[in-house]
Amino acid sequence: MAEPTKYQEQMHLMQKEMMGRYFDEMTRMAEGGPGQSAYMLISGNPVELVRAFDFLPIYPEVNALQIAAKKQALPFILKAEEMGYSIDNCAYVKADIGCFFSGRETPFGTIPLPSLILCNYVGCNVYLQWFEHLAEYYPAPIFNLDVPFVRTESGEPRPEDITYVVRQLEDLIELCEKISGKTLDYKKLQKIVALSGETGELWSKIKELTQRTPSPFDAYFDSVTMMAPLYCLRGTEECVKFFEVSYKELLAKAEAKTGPLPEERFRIVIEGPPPWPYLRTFRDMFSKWGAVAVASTYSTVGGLWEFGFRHDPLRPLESIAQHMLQWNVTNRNFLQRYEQLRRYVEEWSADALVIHSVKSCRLFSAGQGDMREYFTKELGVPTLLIESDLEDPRYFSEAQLKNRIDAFFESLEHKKLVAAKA
Amino acid sequence: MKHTKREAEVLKAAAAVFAARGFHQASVREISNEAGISLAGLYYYFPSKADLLFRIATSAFDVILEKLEETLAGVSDPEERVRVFIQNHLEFFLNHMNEMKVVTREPGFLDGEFREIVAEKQRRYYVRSIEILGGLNATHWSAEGLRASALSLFGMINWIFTWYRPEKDGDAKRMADQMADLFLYGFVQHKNGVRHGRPNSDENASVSTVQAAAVIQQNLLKEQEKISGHPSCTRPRAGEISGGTNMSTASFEELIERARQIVATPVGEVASEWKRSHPGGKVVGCFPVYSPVELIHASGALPIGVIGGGNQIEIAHADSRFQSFVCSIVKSTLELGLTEKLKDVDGMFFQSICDPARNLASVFKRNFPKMAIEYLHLPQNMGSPRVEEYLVAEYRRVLNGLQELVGRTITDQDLERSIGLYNRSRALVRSFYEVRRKSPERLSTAECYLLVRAGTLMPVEEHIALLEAARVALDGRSVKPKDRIRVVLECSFCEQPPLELIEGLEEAGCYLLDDDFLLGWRWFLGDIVADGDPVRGLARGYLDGSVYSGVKHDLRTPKAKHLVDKVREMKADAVVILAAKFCEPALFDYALYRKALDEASIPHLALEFEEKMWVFDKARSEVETFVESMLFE
Repeated sequence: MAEPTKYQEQMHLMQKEMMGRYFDEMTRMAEGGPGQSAYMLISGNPVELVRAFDFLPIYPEVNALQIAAKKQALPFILKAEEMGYSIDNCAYVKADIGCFFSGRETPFGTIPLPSLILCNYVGCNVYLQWFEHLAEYYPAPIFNLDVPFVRTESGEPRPEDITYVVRQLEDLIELCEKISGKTLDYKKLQKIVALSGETGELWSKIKELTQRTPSPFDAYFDSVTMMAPLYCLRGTEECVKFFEVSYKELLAKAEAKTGPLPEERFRIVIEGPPPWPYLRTFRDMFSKWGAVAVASTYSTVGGLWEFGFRHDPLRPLESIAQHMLQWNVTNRNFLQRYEQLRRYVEEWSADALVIHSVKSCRLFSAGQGDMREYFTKELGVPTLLIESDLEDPRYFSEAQLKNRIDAFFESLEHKKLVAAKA
Repeated sequence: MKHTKREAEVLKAAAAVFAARGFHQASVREISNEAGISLAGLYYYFPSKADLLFRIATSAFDVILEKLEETLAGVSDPEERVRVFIQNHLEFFLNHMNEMKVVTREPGFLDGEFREIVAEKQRRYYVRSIEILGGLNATHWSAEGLRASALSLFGMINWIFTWYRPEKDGDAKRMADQMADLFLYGFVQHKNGVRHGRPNSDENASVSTVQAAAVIQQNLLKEQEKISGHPSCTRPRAGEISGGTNMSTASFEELIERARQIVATPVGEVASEWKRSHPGGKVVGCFPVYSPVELIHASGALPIGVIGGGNQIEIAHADSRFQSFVCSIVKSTLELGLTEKLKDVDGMFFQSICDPARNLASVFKRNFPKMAIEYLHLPQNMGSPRVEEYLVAEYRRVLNGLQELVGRTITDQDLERSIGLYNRSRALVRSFYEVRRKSPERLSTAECYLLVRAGTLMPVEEHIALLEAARVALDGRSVKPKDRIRVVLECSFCEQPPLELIEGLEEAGCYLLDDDFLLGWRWFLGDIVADGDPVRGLARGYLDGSVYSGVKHDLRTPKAKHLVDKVREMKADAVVILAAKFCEPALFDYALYRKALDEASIPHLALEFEEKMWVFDKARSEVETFVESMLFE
């Protein structure tokens, strides 16, 4: 039995502090402080390039989810709906736009206006709409970084695709030079890319830890703690530091065979974004059954590193392009997600798949009925499909969800008992 | 059953409307307009649309049967009785063409007691024909043969409504004689017993059949050459589309009717039918919005539009794959696949218009492994100097996939020829839109829509022939403009509204000067210039010569600018945003359109539809209210 590690709970404290500083930096800028900001999207982005110009990366998705987590989303959503956005539009966008037109003030900070609106179009068509709208509301220069979708038999991007993206990155560099008044410091870019590479390495190792039994953390609910610095601070020294600390802490937990719950009774893989306004409630519905997530697709929206990809400082633009083309969940096609989940179920020894379908996000959700069909009929994996929303609090039906989750785990439990007897 | 004069007038009007529109698509309101009677008045005489059809059908049969008995009385010669039978039939129907169309086509839409009564009268008429033919004592026919002969005779005498021209074909007596001769003696035999199947016939007709055939063929070939620009040798007949309509003499209404029939054909049947006449050929379905159909055509495959199941399909299986908050077209298209309706479709093209469509491509791939699924990533960084190279490479990739599918190389000549053909069909479509812009009273949106939609279900060569004939036939048309508002319609670029809704919008008081229905099939502002590099020509056309579309995210112009500019250019009064339920891109666009239209003080109305809707009252009354508010401002 290992002694209580001195890293115990440091991870959480660090995360809080780092994110606090990030939001403070954001607020200072919003209140007239120096510096420039670039709006960008989480999935498959060239943050390394943006940071090389000392732009502060601002992520409307992160702002939206933070607003939802603090239960402040509804007034912003309603404001956007008054402006003409539909009840069926993605609620991330509505919350963000509602906030934009309400002074951009949130419980965690004030969001500055952008110096650059950088739309990294990686699969999600809503990204294109979202930033197009922002650019109409505020005259910052907008750049659509067009990243071809993974659409070939091999599941790999074509050489023409990589060239196309790299050339666009070069155009982006030109634009950033114009906006910032600086020329690109190539060595600085390489350094930042190297830091991303190291972060990816650590994140992969952390993810591997959940292959153990018991899993030292919940790869869905606890991943969100780590995702914030991963997405907002990738490419920085402090981010690497955070992941070093996190890895040590989680490794210690793994070796002490402790997990997030007193007893790990079920190992599950979870697909889809979480219901941010009801994260705690949702988590409890699984904890009560001793169900721990050992893998999740949502934790790969910003990047998929567990299958070997690393940012490469020797080929900075090319590896950034590859990350955007292939190594994040949104630019990969729906069947590749099936494959990713299948690998998780097999290699992380999971008992079941839980698909959380969210009304707002059709990229994730449209067609998950077919996904369930594949997993239950072709692979024989017990699968639960439940529905709510990632941002809009009006779509969470607690009683219904509880019933479905309870019924599912009851039957899983029953199956286990039967199998044990046999 | 005897009718009052008023009732007879209404039935005549109803027959006209049913003949033009088909039973299902005809509206009672239209019939009341046609009859010059109020809707309430119409319902007083005829409680339902089905009742109208019932009365038309039974009345026709009653009259025919009565007259037949009258004229047969006193005629004992068996052959003469056949002639009387045919002449009686033709005389009635040539003077009641609408009734003929309706009775031939529509009684299947009745049910219950109505159906039984009409079927009974049909049976009586059929039995009479059997008796008359039986009287000829042609003992070489068995009972089955006699039955088939009688039904073939009906086929011949019923089908004339599609081609009969009084100035060409003479009166009923002459037609009846000709048909009786044909039926009784066959094509080569004459009534004097002489066979005329040999070149040295001594027929006393002014032109021998051999010469006549040569002349007809010559004319058809000339038309074909005009269309495709080189001698026709590989493509089958032009100037006629299957179904018997000779387009060179068809009226505009008949061409629209033909288009309507084509559009009503399920897409799977179109594929199967085409394959029967093109053994070994491949069919590639194109999901909205834009597909580079020239690439498909150049490969020798048939490109067709797979645009959902409309209101013809129940979604029973696809519901378990795609959630309730996904648009209908994604589900109905999957349903078509899951219910084997696309078994003769060899490949599908999808492209990035929205997230559900993109996921649909994957679901297709998994569920239909025999289909060649292609997903095109069309560029979203318009205006970038990098885009052309990318798009050329993307098109070449797609071309390689097509080559594999059809098993042959696609040459630049193939591509140039295809581009030439589609340039022509698109130019013709643009000309129809020109008519709507300039004189919308002459061409309804519904008619124009049918002409365009038919093109998604037929080879482009045939579509060109249809459009050319329609263009000529339209020239003669002159219509008095009605008091309607001038409208630009937007947001129907993917899932399509039912035709009844489009008609309803117009009837509620709108002239739709422009719309984005089937936009992907009308994608270019002018001709594609192949100029030695046809793939690059297509790519350049996409980047700099294509229509505005919300799914293109061309940041070079603000989103709503094209809409506001268009309204002003066309001097339109208002905008109707007609978006499919759950259509993500349209709903996003609406927020920006609304803002811009408000700022430009352009009145607008937002309506929602689903392809599978059957009830249109609500939408109709919303538009009527909107129109009224505009007319009486």
